Amino acid sequence: MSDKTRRIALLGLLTALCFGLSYLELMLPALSVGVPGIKAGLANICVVAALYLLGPWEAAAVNLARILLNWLLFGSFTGLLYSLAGGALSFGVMIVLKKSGAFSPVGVSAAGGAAHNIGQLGVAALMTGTPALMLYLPVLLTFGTAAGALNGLIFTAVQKRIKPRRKE
Amino acid sequence: MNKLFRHDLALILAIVLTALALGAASTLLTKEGETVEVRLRGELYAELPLSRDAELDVDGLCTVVVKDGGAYVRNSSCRNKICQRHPPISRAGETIACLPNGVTVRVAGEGGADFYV
Repeated sequence: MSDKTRRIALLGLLTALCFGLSYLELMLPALSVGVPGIKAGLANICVVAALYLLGPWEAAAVNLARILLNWLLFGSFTGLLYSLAGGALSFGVMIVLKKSGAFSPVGVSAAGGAAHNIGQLGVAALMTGTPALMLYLPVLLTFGTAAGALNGLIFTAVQKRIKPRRKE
Repeated sequence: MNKLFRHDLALILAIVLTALALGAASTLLTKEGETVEVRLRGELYAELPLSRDAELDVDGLCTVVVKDGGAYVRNSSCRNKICQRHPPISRAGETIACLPNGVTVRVAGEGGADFYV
C-alpha cells in the first residue's frame, strides 16, 4: 500500500472514530456532570492522534469534520459557534506546543483542553452579552485540563500498542 | 520522555494554579449581594432579600428558595434540571438560569465578574 493511500485511509478511520466517540460520550451521561461545557471530550483523542500520526492539516480536517458532523446530527447553531471557537483556539495551542517539542501528547492535549474551554466560554460570554459567564472559567479550566490530560494519556497508551511497522 | 513528562506536569500545574488564582480573585473582588431578582422570560417577576429565608413559586415552573443568605432553585419542571444542580448563589452578579423555562435568578448589584474579560 502506498504511503499516500495509507495516510488517506488512516485519516478516514480517525474521522469515523472521532465521530463514534462523540456519539458514545453522548450516550454515557455518567461522563458528564450536567454542567454545560464540562465533558470528557473523548473525540479529541482522535484529533491528537491525527496531529501526531499524520500532521497539523490532517488534524485540522478531523477536528472540523467532527464539529460539523456533530452540529448536523445533534447540535444547534449556537453550539456550532461555541465548538468552532473552542476547536480553533485549542487547535492553535496544540500545534504550537507540539512544535515546541517540549511536551508529550499529555501536556499538549491538556493545554488543548484548557484552550477549548477558554474559546468556548469567551464566545458564549460575547454572544449572550453576559461577561459574568467568565466566572465559570476557573472551574472549566480545571476540568478542561484534566480531561485533556486524560485524553493525552489514552492516546499515549494506544500509540504504544499500534506502532506502525513501517516508518512513515 | 521523562523530561517531557516533567514539562507536562509543570504545564498542567501552571494552568490549574492560574485557574485557582482567577477563582480566588473573582471571589475576593465580588461582594455579597443583598437581593435576588427573579425574572420570567426577561421580565422582573419578583425581588427577594437574601437576608430572610423564603420560598417563591414561579408560575408553577419552579421554586426559588432563599436560605441562609443564598438562593437556589428547586422543583423545576424543566427537562434537564441543570438549574437545580446549581449551588446556592449569594455574590453580586451570580446567576442561575433555567433556559427551558426562561427563568433566571440573579443576585442584584454590580458584579465584579467582568474585570478580567
